[in-house]
Amino acid sequence: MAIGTYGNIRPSDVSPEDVEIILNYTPSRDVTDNFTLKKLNASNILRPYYNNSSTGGNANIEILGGLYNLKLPANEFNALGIYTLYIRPAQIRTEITDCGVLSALPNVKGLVINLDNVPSQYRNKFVSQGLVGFRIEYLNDDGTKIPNFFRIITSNFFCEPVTQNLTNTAQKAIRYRYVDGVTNLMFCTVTPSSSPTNKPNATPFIGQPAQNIIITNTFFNPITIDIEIVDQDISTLAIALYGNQTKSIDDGIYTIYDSANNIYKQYNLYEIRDQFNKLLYEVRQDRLDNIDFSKNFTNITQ
Amino acid sequence: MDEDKYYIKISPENILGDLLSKPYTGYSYVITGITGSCCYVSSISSSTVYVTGMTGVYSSMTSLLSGGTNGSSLFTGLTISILFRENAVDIGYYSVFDGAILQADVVKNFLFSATTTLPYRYYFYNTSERDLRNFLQLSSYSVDWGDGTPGQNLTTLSPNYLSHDYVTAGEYRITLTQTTPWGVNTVKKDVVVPFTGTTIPNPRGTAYFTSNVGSWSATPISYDFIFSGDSDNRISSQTSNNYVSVPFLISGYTSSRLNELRQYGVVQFPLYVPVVQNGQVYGVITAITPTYTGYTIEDIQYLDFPDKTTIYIVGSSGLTSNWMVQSAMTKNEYLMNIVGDAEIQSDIFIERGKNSALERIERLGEVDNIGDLENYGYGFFNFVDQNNF
Repeated sequence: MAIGTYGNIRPSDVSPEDVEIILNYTPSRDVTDNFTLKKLNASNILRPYYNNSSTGGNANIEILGGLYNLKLPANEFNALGIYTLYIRPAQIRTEITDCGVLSALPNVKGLVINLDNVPSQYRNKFVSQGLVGFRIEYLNDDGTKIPNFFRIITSNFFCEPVTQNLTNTAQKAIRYRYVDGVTNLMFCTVTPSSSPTNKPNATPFIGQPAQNIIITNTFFNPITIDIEIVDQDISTLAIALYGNQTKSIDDGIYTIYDSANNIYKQYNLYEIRDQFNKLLYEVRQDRLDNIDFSKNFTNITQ
Repeated sequence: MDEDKYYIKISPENILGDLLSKPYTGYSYVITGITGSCCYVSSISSSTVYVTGMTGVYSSMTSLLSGGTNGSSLFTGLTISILFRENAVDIGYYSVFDGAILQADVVKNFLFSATTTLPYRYYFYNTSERDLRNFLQLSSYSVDWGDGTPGQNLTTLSPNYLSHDYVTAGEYRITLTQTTPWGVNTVKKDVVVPFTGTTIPNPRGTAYFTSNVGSWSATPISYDFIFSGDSDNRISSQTSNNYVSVPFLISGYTSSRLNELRQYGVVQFPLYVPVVQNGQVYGVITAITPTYTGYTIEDIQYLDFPDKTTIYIVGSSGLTSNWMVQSAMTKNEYLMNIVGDAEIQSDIFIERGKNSALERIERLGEVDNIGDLENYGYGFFNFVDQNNF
């Protein structure tokens, strides 16, 4: 039992199904305000690491926890530039069917969610106590999200409605009662749902019927990954500076080799003169992929 | 990494695939030869021979990135490792929600107790003291003691218990009936008269429901009170049988307590002269040598060394399974919002419904010793020394 708050940072055991990955690409840093967001399928590209005999645990079945391998799909990462990956808990978008109370306990309020309104891929979360700890965010009628406002689900159970006569009126009230079987209605209690002690009539807002909500897990902290794919790096620049080089006098082909004498770059060297044979320019032109393989360093120096 | 952000640069030095091995046709030279048989010259021919081989060549990242099918990258195995983590903040055990406990214990449940001193008298406690006033508006409660005596209605908040004296020994079933506009709830618990203090099976009883209205096809008419969030809430499943069967030694470093054995007289630290407190032997000095001083205080052996270190040695009590019994907590968990349920691990502070600053201060003072921990349900069960019943 803890009196107070204790905590640490722990590696997450998160299933790829609970993860959303959003990609933004920009070719350079100066056009970063052009958002071209695209959602990637985390189930296809995110794989957890598993324990093996060296790390302990149950080999190949027990998730290592925290460490994941993210594959960069070739059809997306196909150009130089900056790729920003935004990885966040998966969002379950649905709507509140009703804000009800338990029939046997009218002071316990909660949200009733119809599972028919839940995307099919997330319905497996909607089991008894399966949403505990999830966060609810609320949307306005115009689709905007109410900023900086959320509630936490503290319990959820299957329920069914109960019709009950109200005292002193002919009206009937719909209330809810838990059922142990599976129904299409889920009663979620959230916190805070009761009034503060110092202002008992200030009932906390937990939502309203037909309001759209976003339910997200709290299994891990969202992260961003900034991936920059570049053409040159220190190692390739070092090749240009310190690598072997040859210059063919006959055809002017200038070749730069890496430390293993692979051809790194090849250039045409030539001069431009005017009609009086006055030297105007000395030119070094990149041959790009038009490599003259006869300039293989081994052939030349053997 | 304090912030959950990664910066990754992918460049040729990171990618082995950037180095492509390509066949090449190198320089050429002409060879001239004579063909024919051994005895005549057929022709004089020349041919050009090209030097070929394999060489490594770098392609540009751009061409590699778009060199695949439909402009996709040739780097099909490009992966990075990332770390998912969460700020797990444990704010303590709490009720997953007030309603679950209320539903189980307040609306339609009760506790009972008895003593071996008056083994024929059973006490009935309603567990709805907090919200009974609300429920009485819609519900009525009655208690049947199971021995044929008339049932007692529960209509007031005070006193919050009933007592009943059974006349004859036997097994009886106490029934609490809650009548509501939408059905009748009953909770039944079996008791044994006279009370002997033995473990009571299914202490939470069995609940029954008979509906008046609504569709209840999916609702069982009876069930034991078992919190559905627990896969197995038997006490035996929460304990270990990995006991140490023989006493073992516990030792460690501490500070000297020799001065507690100081006595009046010329010799302040006499050997083998026990120090007595409250009629009990408190301690005795057992050895004074150049290398150490040995003494015993309350059955714990201490050794003081010249370098001012002190070692204590004590034999364990020999914790064995035969000495221990496990018993369920009978205190209402909801009073402390304690329930054996999963904790929410999140970096989001979870505000209890009724949680004022004053309450926090009060709560801080609630538990400040081991006894309080036991009383408030430190775990799911008590360890009780069987010999001290």
